[in-house]
Amino acid sequence: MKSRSSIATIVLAIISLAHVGSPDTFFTGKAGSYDVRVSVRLPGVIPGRAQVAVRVPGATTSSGHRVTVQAAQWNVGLKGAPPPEPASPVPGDPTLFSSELWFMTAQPYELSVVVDGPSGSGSVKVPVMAIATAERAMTPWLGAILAALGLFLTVGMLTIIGAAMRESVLPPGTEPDRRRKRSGRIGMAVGAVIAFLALWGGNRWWGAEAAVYSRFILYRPFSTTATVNGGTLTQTIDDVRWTNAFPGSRYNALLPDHGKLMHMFLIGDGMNVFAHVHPVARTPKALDFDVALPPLPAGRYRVYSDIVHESGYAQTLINTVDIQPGNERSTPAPDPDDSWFAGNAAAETSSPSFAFDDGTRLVWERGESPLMAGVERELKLSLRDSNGAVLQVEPYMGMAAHVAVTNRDASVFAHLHPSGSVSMAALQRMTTTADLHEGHVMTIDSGVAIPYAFPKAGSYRMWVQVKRDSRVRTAAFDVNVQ
Amino acid sequence: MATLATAAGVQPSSGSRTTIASASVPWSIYAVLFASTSVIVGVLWDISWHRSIGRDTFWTPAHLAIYLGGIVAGLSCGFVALKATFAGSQDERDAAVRFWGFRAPFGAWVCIWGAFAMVTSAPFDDWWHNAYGLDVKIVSPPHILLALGIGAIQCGAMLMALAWQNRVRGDRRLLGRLYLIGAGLLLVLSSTLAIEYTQRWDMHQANFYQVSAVAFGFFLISGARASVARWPATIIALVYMVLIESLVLILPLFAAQPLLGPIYVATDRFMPPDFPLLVVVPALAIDMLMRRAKTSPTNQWVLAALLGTAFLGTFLAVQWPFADFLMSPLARNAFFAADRMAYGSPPEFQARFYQLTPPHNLASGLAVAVVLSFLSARLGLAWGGWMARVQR
Repeated sequence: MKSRSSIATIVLAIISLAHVGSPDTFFTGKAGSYDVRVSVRLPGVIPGRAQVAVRVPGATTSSGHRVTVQAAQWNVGLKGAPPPEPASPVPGDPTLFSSELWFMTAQPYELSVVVDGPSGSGSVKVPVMAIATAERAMTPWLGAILAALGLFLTVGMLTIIGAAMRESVLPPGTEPDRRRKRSGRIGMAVGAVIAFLALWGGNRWWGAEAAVYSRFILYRPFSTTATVNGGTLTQTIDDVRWTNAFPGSRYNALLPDHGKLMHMFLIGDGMNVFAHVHPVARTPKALDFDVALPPLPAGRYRVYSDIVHESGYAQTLINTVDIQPGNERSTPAPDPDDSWFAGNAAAETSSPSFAFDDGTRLVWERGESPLMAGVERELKLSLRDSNGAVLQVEPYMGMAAHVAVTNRDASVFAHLHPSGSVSMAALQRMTTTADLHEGHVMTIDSGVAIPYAFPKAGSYRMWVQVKRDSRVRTAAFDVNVQ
Repeated sequence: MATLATAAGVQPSSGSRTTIASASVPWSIYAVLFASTSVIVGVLWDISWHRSIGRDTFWTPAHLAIYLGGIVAGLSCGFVALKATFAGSQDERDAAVRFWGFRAPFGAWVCIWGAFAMVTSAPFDDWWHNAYGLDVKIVSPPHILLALGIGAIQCGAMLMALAWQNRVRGDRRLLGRLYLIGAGLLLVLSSTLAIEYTQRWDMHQANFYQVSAVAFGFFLISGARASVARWPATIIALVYMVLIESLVLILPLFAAQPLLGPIYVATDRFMPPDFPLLVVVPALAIDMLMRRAKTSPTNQWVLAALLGTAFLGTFLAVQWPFADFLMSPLARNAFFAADRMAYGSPPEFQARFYQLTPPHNLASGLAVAVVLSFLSARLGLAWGGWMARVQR
């Protein structure tokens, strides 16, 4: 028997999609007339069981709310989904309902959440990316137990073979002679060779199965390159899953998200420089995306590029680029939705605020309690005037706010919206709602509460972008997660 | 009967103490045959469960049937070993083989080994699911370990009945039948392991006949070689066919709803297994050839060539046209169950259920099947010859 590693069960692969290192889904919205907050914690392996939690504010032990959840693969739909699973009220918290859902394939899903209660029935669809992100090693004690059992089985089998050759055909009561005993030993020796070959072959097979898992099931973002040529940054997708996508694949055509095929985030200078730009596909096949670089200072930048396929499959492409000196003097003619920021973050307090030059402030009502890894919190953000009144903002690419989160070691990156961590393009595809950009001319309340759980402990930076007076404002916050 | 037994390679025991009345079949043989039946029915039920409902826990009836078989085999054979070692009669001790100072019939040790293999496979399989996800195929390393355990229990059950059959003086019909049931149950396991390669749409492919020659030829011929019955291979084949067909008829009587997605086929009944392969025909040919060989002793290599060719020839002759029948509307009924598809059969896969894959490289493939059938027969004769001599 084989022990894969002496390290305790660990999750090795941290990268994930639509985000990096943050594979779980957090959503807030309305199911009919009910406000709901939904989280889907993936099991790490596919097929596997995800934990689904639905919070229905206002539900009480006597209010009679009932919640069901149902997951449908993107290309099959609810008709081909298993029956809805009831989500049980969590003892001690009547607003929280939980359930387990099986995800059998590494595909985009639509999660249908139905709430029944005093105001009738309401439903909402939530895009969920079922992906495998974990490669688990065997714990030492389990490895030792299996190894001991394997040794016992092997030696036991050889002993049985020896007994078979030595005694099994002898009439009862007859002792084996020398020839029989020799046969027994020869049998055990031949058996040992066969057992060795079987164990060797089994080990190879195990390795091959693990390789198939790593290659075809475990999430890997597209293979890409990012290069800077003059004032243009080019992101090239050279992954065979994209260049030779087979019909029916989840890697189908790209879907515009907030009207853009790609949202690119550049993070440099120890997280003090941030840019949110929108490369444009050079060819209809969308292999190369170009963007005019904003006047960012020279240095090495992490590049995170979000794309969404028509299947609803969202992924974040990961690269690094070096921007040469002189770029800070560039005068690009950018996409009006491109934005960038250089500067320090607001220090951590219970209610940090980031001051803009016109006297407005981006306030994060963070609260006294520390942020804990894996624990869902609402990021309560608002733009306020000098008197503390919450201001109206213009939709920035359809949203009251865009939030980007990354950590110091670059193992986590997430792009959040007021609806949570879900891809807005995937959400739109499911709900077929009107174009979110229709709201461009109006103004909306800047107060948002975004559900999210920082996936692991460490030092993070969070950028919050809102638009007011036709200008995108970017606020930065330091976040320490325990 | 004595002539037949001798010709079949069964040497009557010379020890007077080993004379056992046929009426005194020990309870342990019934126990291990029950275990053998329980595990294989559990396996087939579990496969149906995964094709009908999908979602399971450790406590599904199918899993319980598998593990009940393991527990019954392990405990009963463990008891037999402890009794023979510490409190057994001289006859019991004499009819045992030694294992690390303990004594028990040879088949009992094989069963105990099987029970331990099954126990080992459980945490291994659990870890496998945690590391690579719930497996959606039969053949994975922990499942093979489980299959080895199940196979050992079935093999041990067969060997326990066989040793008694070989030792008994007098009427051996009951023990002979019990042995053949054990051999038939083992054939069901072999056919189950081969299931991914013996699908209906592949019945005009050489690969189907290659796999069948190995999965069926060896067990039919070895089983027949060690038997004292008149039509042993036929009975073994019938045990396989009757058990599978029983499940074809019984399982769809029970309601089942898919609880995992995606669901491509709406189903509301338990999925039956595929209709059994028509191995009773080659089994008849094997019996006839082996009966003939008993009356006119034949070189074992020549006999293997005859048996291998006969198996493949007759199997091809019946299964090839039968495949056409299974694809026809006439087979879409409760008896042949050719109209049943598992809920997870994707659309691009469903046409296969109604359309034979055209033959590919048939001549060279069948030539390989002939060689495999010959080797399977020769190994079967050798293994069966040894089994015929097992006394303990």
